[in-house]
Amino acid sequence: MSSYGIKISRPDYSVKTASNANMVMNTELPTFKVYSIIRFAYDALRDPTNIESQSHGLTYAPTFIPIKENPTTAGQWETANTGYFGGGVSQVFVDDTSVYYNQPEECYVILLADQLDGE
Amino acid sequence: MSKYGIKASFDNNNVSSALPNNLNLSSLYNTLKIFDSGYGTASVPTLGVLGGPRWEQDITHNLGYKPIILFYYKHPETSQWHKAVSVADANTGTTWDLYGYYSNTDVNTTQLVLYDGLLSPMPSSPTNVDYKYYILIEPRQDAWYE
Repeated sequence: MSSYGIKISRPDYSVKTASNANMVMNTELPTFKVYSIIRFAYDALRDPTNIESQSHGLTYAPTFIPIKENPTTAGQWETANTGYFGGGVSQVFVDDTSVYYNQPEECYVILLADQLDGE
Repeated sequence: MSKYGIKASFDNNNVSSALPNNLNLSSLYNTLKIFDSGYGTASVPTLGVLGGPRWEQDITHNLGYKPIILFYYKHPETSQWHKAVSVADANTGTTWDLYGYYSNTDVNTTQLVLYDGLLSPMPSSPTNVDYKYYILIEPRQDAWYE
């Protein structure tokens, strides 16, 4: 039996034949849902010995995507946790109640409604 | 000729004039679509020596290209989740180091890796570490945009 759903293809692509990579939306594929964006303002005193936390208002650890200002080039933004080239230290982390950040630069953390604990 | 498409604006925003950031959906802009996701518990051994044992998990997606990957791991000491590629160490309030990274080994396979710190190792081995990953439909290079 066929299932029902919605597909929206990108401009100039037929919705009947476009691959999933050329779809704006396909109800067969989950999408992330943005719950909120938390901002950590610049704070020269914030560091690994003075970690700042903010409550996120959820009862579970949400999937998150952090973006922070480059520490040496103002106005240049990068993903936090810049991997081994950035020293490797985890800079933004979450749990069931809060978001934590241990660097002085301004940072935005996109919180998604999708939880990390569980499928 | 006008293009056809779909738009949905947020409350109190006119869909005809709203800027992109005030649209919930616009078929002019791609959305991030999840091809596959998984949650599990890894049994991570102590590293012991440089190049020692690690926990590795191959995910076969068969997309034929290298996709965008999001990989997260929960340090068991603090129950805090960290986004790979990174190390959760004393800078995050832990007493032992836990590393997480991932790689697209080829166009059909992604590998997730967790391993112990050499200088600040886990107190007992092996240690269970919860993880979560997302493999997106979008390729890591040249995803479409308007």
